[in-house]
Amino acid sequence: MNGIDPTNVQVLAAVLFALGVAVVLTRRNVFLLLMGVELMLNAVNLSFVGFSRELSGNESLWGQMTPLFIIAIAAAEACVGLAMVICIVRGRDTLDSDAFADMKE
Amino acid sequence: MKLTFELLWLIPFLPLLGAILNGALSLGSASSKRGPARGLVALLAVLAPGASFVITVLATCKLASHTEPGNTALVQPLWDWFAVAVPGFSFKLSAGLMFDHLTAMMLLFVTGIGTLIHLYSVGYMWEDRGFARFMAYMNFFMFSMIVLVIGDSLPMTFVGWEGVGLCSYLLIGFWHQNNEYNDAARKAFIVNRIGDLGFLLGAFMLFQVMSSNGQGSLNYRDISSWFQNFANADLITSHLGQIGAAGLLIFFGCTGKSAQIPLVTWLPDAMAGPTPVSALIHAATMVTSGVYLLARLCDLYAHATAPVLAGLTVSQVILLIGCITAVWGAIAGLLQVDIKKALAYSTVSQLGYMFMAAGVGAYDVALFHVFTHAFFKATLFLGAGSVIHGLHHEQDMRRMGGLTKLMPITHLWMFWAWFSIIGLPILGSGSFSKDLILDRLFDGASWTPIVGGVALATALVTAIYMSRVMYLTFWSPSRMSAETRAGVHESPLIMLIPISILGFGSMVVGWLWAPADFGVSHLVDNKSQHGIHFFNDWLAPVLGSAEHFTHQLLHPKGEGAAAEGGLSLYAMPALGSLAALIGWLIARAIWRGGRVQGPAEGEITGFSASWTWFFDRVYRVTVVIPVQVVAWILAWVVDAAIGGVVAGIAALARFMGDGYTSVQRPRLRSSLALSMAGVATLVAVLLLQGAFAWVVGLLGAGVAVLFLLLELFF
Repeated sequence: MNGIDPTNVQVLAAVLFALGVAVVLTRRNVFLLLMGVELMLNAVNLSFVGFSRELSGNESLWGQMTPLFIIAIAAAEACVGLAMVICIVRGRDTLDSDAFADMKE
Repeated sequence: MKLTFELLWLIPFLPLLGAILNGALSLGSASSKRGPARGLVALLAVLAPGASFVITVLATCKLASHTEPGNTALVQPLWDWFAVAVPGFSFKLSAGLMFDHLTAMMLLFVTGIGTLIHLYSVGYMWEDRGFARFMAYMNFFMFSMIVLVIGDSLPMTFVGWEGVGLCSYLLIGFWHQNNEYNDAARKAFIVNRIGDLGFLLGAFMLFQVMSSNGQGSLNYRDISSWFQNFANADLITSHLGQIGAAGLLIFFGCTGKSAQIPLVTWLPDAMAGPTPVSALIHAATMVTSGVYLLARLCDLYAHATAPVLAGLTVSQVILLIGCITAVWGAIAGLLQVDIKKALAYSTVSQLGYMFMAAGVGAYDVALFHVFTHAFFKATLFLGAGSVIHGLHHEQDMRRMGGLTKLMPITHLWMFWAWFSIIGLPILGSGSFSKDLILDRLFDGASWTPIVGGVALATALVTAIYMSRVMYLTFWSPSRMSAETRAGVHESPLIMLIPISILGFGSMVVGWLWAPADFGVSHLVDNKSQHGIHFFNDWLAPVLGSAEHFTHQLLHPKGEGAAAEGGLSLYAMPALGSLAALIGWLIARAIWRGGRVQGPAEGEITGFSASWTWFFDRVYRVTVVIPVQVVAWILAWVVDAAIGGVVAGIAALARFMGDGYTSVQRPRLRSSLALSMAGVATLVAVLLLQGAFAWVVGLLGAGVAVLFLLLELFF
């Protein structure tokens, strides 16, 4: 049960987070962008759960409950985000995030 | 008593391995023109469940060799699933396998019949482009079904429970180019999920009740021993309401999986899948998992003696639901023109019989009917598949007839399965189990004999509709067109072998439990005990305690205990056979000439002509339309209101932000990159001390200012 080194969990979370950041920064497809954000959120979840294993009692419980909230909020976020993206994409007929640059004009 | 058996994990693992390998083969050959290596796929797909069957037999032998009294089981703990520890409460769930007498009986037929149906599928699906995909799904179904029955706790069973639901969805919609089939698949999945909610809530509630003296557990052995423990009697009495509610919720889950009213609507539509799927999932194995779960939790149901719904106890609710479903399924079966649909409604009806038996506390009888039904219904479905195959995908019985000579072997085994399902004695296993159910119903207290009468009448209707299927398909003048008739062929050997084995099984397996044995056991030895009791003796360690408890409840003064013996033993077989005979003669008089209306112009045929319209309509009015109304309100009223507010805020922001936009980076990604850099700088400043912090901070600020200037002036 306790075979996993807590550092490894955090390293994995950091790697996942970095992957998410990389996706967000390098991809132009809006859907991939949303996926990157999702990956970052879940990396944070993993980090929370990893720390909660090292704590005891109520603190451990907080470490487990926070991800639950994050998951619920992420679901809502994905819902709203996707709806917005679909609205934008319908209006412009493209998935390229670089095309959404109207603020400048 | 617990014994360990090291090979237990292989029983579910091998089909899983088969599913993974076949899935890989399927994906790997997706773009190739030749398709997957069919021989290899077939070998893997049949060997995996076959090997599971062999290991199951080994495990059963080991279990049978331990004859000390009490509930013996082979167990294999796998891993700790999760653990919760907060002040005042701790709970650990470990994933493990348990192989007791009930599991042995279920697994023997799940893996045995499953292997045969895999063999049949090789012949039936050989020409299909998705052969490897199909076999991967089938193997994954075997894995899920095995987990369902071999899991040692409610959550383990739930894993399999969901897995079989998923496979059912995948296989019903296997021919996904047809949108109607996809609708049927989605319907099955959603209706099953609704039942699953009942399963989960019931499990939680059961756990809560057992936690009231700190013994909360989801493990089956813990659950039965908790209910059997006399020290808990007061606790059970004070929690009767909750126990009843838990039982009712879990039963609701069972109605979803086993297609009982009210969640019956998906099974007839499920016939959209290829016929081997209908035989394996929707007749022999998956739909019986509801009965399995009731038997597994028999101690819970035996002790749930308080009224929970309309003044009825859970068991009485089960009895009534089973009875209504049996009648309804039989009548609906009478009106079908699609051969698979007729068999589907017949399955619904037979499952109703099983639930009736469970409702009067005769779990071993219910399981016996599960067992015999698996044989004869699989034979009927495989035979129907053989007919459909031989007639080049014709499923409408109005365009069949006269196939006896053209498909002699299929007809032979269909005949014996028909003999079995309508309840003709001695060479039909169905009569043994059905007569036992009738016997238990007439033996019950207060109004259960009335249900028994209804069940007997339903047996008559069963005989009529099954004979109708046989007459329209085989025993009436041919109504096929000339070119269809010329193309009819008997199926290949690889399909006929499984049919023959299963058909032979449906002739003989009834003798595993034959209280009315027609004098055979007296020929063997002259002892006073009547009949052969192998089947219920085998299950007694698991079910005996609950059945004894129920029996004492029904017969408090001990009467009825010695009812077995003498002439009354033969009363039920005689009545059942009489019903079968009369039903057969009625069907013979009506359909012998093959007089049926041909398909009318524009009439909906095939699988959308459903007799679940009543329930579909009720669900449409109570669920679908309200959802649509809410969706309409959300789409137009709420959307307009929120949209107005949002548009207002946006206008405000645009107004106030005018001017600031000139410093905005035009590209989303570069502004994101800048904000990331900002965060990184902040973190660095906070973490680093002294001069470094100043250097990094100034550097970051410099870069930001540089960017701003660049944006402003270029």
